[in-house]
Amino acid sequence: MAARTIAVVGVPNVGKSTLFNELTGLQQRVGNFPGVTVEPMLGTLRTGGDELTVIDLPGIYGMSAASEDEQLTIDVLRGEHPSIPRPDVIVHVLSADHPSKCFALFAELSTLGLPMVVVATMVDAVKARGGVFDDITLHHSLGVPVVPVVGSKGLGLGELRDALWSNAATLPNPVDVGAASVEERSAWARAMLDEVVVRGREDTTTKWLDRVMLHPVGGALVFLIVMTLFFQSIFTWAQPLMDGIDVLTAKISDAAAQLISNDLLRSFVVRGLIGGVGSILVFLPQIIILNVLVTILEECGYLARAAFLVDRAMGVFGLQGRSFIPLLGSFACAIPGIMSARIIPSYRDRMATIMATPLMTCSARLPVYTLLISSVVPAITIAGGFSLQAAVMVGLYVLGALSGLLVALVLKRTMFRGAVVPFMIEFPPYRMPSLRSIGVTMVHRTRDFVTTAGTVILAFSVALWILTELPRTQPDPSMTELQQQQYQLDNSYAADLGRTLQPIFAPLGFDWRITLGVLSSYAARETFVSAMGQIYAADVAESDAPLREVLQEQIPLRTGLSILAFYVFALQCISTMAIMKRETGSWKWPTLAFGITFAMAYVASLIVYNVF
Amino acid sequence: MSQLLQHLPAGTRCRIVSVEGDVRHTERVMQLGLVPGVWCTIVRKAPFGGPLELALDDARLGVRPTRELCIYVDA
Repeated sequence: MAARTIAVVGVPNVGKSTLFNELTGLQQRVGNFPGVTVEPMLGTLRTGGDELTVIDLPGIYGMSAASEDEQLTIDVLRGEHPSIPRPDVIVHVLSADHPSKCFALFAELSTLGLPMVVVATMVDAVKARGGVFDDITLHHSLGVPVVPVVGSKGLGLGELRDALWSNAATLPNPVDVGAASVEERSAWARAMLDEVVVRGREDTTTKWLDRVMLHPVGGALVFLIVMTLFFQSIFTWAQPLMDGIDVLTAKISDAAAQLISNDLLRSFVVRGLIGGVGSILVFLPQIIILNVLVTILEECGYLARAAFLVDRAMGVFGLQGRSFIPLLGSFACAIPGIMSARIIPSYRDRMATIMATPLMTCSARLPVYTLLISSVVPAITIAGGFSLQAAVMVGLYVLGALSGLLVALVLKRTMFRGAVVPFMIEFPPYRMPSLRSIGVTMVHRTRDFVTTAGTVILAFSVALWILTELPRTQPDPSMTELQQQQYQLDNSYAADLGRTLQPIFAPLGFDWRITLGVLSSYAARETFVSAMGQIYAADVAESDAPLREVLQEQIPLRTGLSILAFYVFALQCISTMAIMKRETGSWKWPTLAFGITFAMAYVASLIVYNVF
Repeated sequence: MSQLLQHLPAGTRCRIVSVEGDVRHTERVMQLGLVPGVWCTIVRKAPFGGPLELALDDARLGVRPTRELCIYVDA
């Protein structure tokens, strides 16, 4: 009988996820958002007529966990995970280039009593430098099949499939030190290394690159360049795609509007459903590009260097180098950012980082910033050629990031006070990322975003439709279509709500229309633009230019800046709160984050409105 | 005479004598390869008390020791 479930296990940075992607391709079912493996992905391997389930587990160094993602792997391997079944076979991926910690992990895995297959990656890199990796001796020493693979070229994958298919996995030879101390396992691992590996020349490429990449000045320069390119590409490459999606959504809306004769049904389909789906899809390009870039940065080995470079600076805010990765991701969307915080070993650091993520300027704030800045900030140049509008935009990004870090600092000094946590990271050798692996990651991240965040946004979009389109009114047929829409909105539940809550926002300079726009953002920020369009009865189907002109007349500078200040801080995203609850296990944290950011937003708006 | 790793200048080659502190941290740093008896080189020290870049026989690491993670070495 063939084994049913196969777990892919290994220390981080051995090419485990690449192997998994090569092995299962697009046959992956459950996944996660971020550019880091934090949830097990299930793949299907079809060999002959049978199907094997393959689980890609987060990397571990041993059977004791330092972080949430490692705990998951250990629970699954011990058969203690509530939902993931214990695997029948372990595929242990080890790097021929850095084998000693891999062997130390093998010693611990061998005590689990599960049949194993060892896959050796980077054998080509060892050979290219004149070294030797003796997989036959290793096979005899460990007592399990050893399959060398070159994941990016697909070499050895067939053999691995055959081994899994023919149930070649065997119980490993007992390792004396399997349950002993970490020192003893390490000594055993180094002895094993001497037995099977003849080291070749040093990896001079990595050494040479690190001289630049980790240099206090050179490294900082490279870091700034990488970050600039990172943000530039997210925004510039995504823009044409986003515009395309907008046009497509508008076309589909028009077509649907012509097909449906019932007024209420048409409004529901066009505004509630198609509008809702459109507002999800429009963020896909940025999310995909962000994920691809983070995957590339991670696979080529740069993220670990970046974490090293920023560790000292993050220390100023009570955080550590690893916090950088979730915070970086949050500039596109806080959801993948919060999920990737699982790689932070310290609970206190992880929580403080999660609480800071909603203040990083996510891509949903961008349309709001763009609309308001172009409407209310004068298009003049300052300080010899800098556009004032661009300066305000950059200022908002910096303000958001700094305030997020300050929130983390305050939390680390109060609720999460404790000894300074040491920082430890391994620098993997630089390597070219596998295109196929990136492609596979991209496809399944997209699928996950649409299903996970998409359903929440869609639900709120429908709720917003109910609030704005009900109860139905009978506007005077002689009005223009836009006037009719405004009449409907003025008499809707949403308007009641806006007027009721208006007194709270009055000190910030918001009239009931703006209040309503801000409230509608609590489903998803970007709805502000379409809501303002509806409220001010401007046609924003093709572009928001007409709305800008209306807003220019209607909103004074101080009110505009006050709204911007509110958006910098406010946590207006149900999906983010839902993910926070899931990742922290309690509603306490999202509630607290909501409270803190609302207070900051309110105070900031109040100050801005009264200063200008 | 063994001393704390972070007190040595960049470029020093040294041998790990003991790793002390909170067991969660000591265990992890040993899993990464900093085990007593192993030789390592301090390649660089990040400025302002930042992490150290270390080169081991088959690994490159970034480590910032704290009071909870003391790595004693012989130079």
